[in-house]
Amino acid sequence: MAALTVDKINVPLRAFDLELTLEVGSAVAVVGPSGAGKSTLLRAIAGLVEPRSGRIAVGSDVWFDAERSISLAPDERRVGLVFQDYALFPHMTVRQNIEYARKHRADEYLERFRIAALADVKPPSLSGGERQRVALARALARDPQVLLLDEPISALDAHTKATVRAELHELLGTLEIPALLVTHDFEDAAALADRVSVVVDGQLRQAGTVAELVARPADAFVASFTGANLLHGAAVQQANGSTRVELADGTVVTTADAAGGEVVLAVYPWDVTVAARPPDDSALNVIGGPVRSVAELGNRVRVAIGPVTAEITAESLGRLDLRPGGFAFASFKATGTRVVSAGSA
Amino acid sequence: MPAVLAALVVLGGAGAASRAGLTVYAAASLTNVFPKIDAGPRYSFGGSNTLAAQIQQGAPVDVFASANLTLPKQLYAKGLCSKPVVFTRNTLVIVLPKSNPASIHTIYDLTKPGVKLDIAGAGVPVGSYTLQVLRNMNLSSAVLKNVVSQETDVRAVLAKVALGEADAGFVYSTDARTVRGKVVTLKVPARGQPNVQYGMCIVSRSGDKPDARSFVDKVLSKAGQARLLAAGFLPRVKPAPPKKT
Amino acid sequence: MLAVAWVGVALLSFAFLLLPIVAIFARTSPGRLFEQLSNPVVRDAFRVSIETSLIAQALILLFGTPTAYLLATRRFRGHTLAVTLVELPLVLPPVVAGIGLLAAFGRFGLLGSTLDFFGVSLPFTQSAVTIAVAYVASPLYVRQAIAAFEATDPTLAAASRTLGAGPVRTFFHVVLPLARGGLIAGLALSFARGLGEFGATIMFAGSLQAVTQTLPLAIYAEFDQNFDATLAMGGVLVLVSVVLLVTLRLAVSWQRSPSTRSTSLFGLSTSS
Repeated sequence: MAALTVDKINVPLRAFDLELTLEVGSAVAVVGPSGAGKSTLLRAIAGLVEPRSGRIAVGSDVWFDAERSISLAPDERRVGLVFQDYALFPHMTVRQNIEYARKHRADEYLERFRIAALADVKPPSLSGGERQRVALARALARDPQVLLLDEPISALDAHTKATVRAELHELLGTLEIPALLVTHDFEDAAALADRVSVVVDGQLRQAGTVAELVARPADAFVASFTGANLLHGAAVQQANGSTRVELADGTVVTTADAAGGEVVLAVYPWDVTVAARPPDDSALNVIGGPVRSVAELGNRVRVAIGPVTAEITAESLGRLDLRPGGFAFASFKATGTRVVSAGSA
Repeated sequence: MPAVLAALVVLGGAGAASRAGLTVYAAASLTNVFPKIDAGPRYSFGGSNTLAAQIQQGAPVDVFASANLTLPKQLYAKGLCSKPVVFTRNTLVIVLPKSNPASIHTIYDLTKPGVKLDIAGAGVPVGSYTLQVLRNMNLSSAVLKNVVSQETDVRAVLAKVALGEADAGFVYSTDARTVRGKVVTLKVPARGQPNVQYGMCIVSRSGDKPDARSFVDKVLSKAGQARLLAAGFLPRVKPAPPKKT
Repeated sequence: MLAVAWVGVALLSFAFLLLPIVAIFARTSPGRLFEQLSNPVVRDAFRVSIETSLIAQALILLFGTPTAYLLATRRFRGHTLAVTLVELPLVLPPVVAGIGLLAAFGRFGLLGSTLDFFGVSLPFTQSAVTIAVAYVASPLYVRQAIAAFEATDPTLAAASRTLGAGPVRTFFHVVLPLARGGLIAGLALSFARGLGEFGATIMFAGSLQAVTQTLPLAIYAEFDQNFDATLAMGGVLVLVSVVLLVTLRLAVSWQRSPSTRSTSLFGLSTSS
């Protein structure tokens, strides 16, 4: 798979300059607050915006190189860009939209994205989820070298989001081209991509896997932005309404949310209490494990214990005398967890 | 100008009697000289035919001064104004742009192919006089084929020639005098000259007949007639040929 | 009581607007009006009006559309000035426009000698009528076209480019179909304006039957000679205006239909 390389591009924006370098091998998410320059990044890669400097290439195909004065027009780049509001052509049917990208192959994509029944419908009559699928089908029909997604699920209602997230995750897994998605929602990013880059005010703050970002946030902003621990497990609903989730390592966690099947649980570090001995309360989830890392951020400390990262005060750190290599117990209430992603049940 | 006249007709419906001062509709060729005779009235200058038509449609006018007798006589026949009186006469001339681009030196040169001749429409007095001139000189078909435009009043013809857009035009000699530096004037041979008589009448609808009467008197007075002569108009009565003794 | 007065005022307004139009048809018997349609003055005027208007509108479309698209999609230094220039003929009294045209293209005008060199002489020709009409009517089209292009979602054009379509394909397949309603509305307006043009035409082109005498010019020339002919020509213009107005209404509702806005969020389906 030819990787997408974005090398030191600089795009002047209203309040700041977007300056970024990244390499997209498989599925990468760029997260950041609204206005951080994420959409501009995608537009620059697509050729809709010309950076002041830098280089953008896919494999050996150079799309933009300020030094060599190369700047391919968007139509000269084989790029698939799914816009935030999908930008489907309202005066054309779904089939015509797809054929716009590539003639004669519409049926293939209609099938693949399960929208064959909508072939002769015009976009204004479609639901949000349906539109997203058409937009994806159209972008991929272009046979692009890179897939770019701008807030792919932000526009959907909560219910549709869950299903679409799973579908998208699956799709991204099957793609043989690099995919770059931008979102302001860290959980969406975590669910869809392997690596996440945090961009604030046009600058890269941190890049890494989800676990790395949660465990060792580069600064307070990244910490509060990324926040959640994400625990994967199998959920079984209980008679009393709560859900029992068995994590990969066998630990059992109870969550107040109702769910079934493969789930992802989110636990915020500040909802996790750390103790040297297991607490007595049976209403708490308790996870005992080795202290994997201790990261101090001013007055707060992120402590990774087993699969969970807790956030405690520096004072508590001193009191508990936690050290990497030691053993501690992380506990949190059933109400302190959230089911963020239900797998296909 | 046409817009101004139209507006007057529409808005001026409410009786002229309620307005102070006279309203005089006069032929375009009188534009410069009438205000010199009497600066008081509100004047509207234009093609006499257009003005007559508006009087017919009920325009609130006190005095009508036309470049011919036909139009006021028509109004008189319809009871729309008093019996017309001749107040001055005029002659037709040919005007050419100063540079004379088509090299016109006589009226016969107007038959040359490609000459751009501008005249007034047939209903406008000066237009109808022009047709008479050409008929008198037996040049009608030969010259009329060179007509490129039929204007709505004599001053428009003059303007187009003065601007150099038309190669030649027929206007009154009094009009040619107003733009002396910009045009060259060619006389129309005597045998071609029509009898150009200007007629004036008091409009029946006038709300101020006494003042209208005094205006007419002013024009007919020695002072008024002197002004007309000074502007190049001819005396209202053709001087009798000197008796041979 | 207030309601009655309100309705009364409205009725009065309708009567005021309608009366002159009705009067044109009511003044003489329909028979005499029809007779006038075989009057050479009327027929020649109609032909001159239609020919010059059609050519003028074609020119307006051809030159006005790309201009409007440029002004709608690009922002550059002097953009406001450019838009003002394009709208200028709109506020210029037509007669002044006519004088300007003479001063520019007349024999002794700014471009007079250049045109002369190429053997072209404009004043007093039917081409002059076309030019005068195009000049006064174009801002009406261009303004509407700018608004129509501005109303189309720029993301759609961007999407088209990323899907491999060049600027030309994007314009014809995405932008134009979406702006179509507004463009047609603009064309109807400029056509109506052009048909009624008087001042600039008579200044720049003069008035000669079958050559430069359009319907408005013929009406003015005939009104003291043959009022029936004037009414007939007035009637023709009224009918054409009505057709144009209907076209305008239909076109405007076309532009406003849901298919011109990009798909709304949250799966709302808009009724057509």
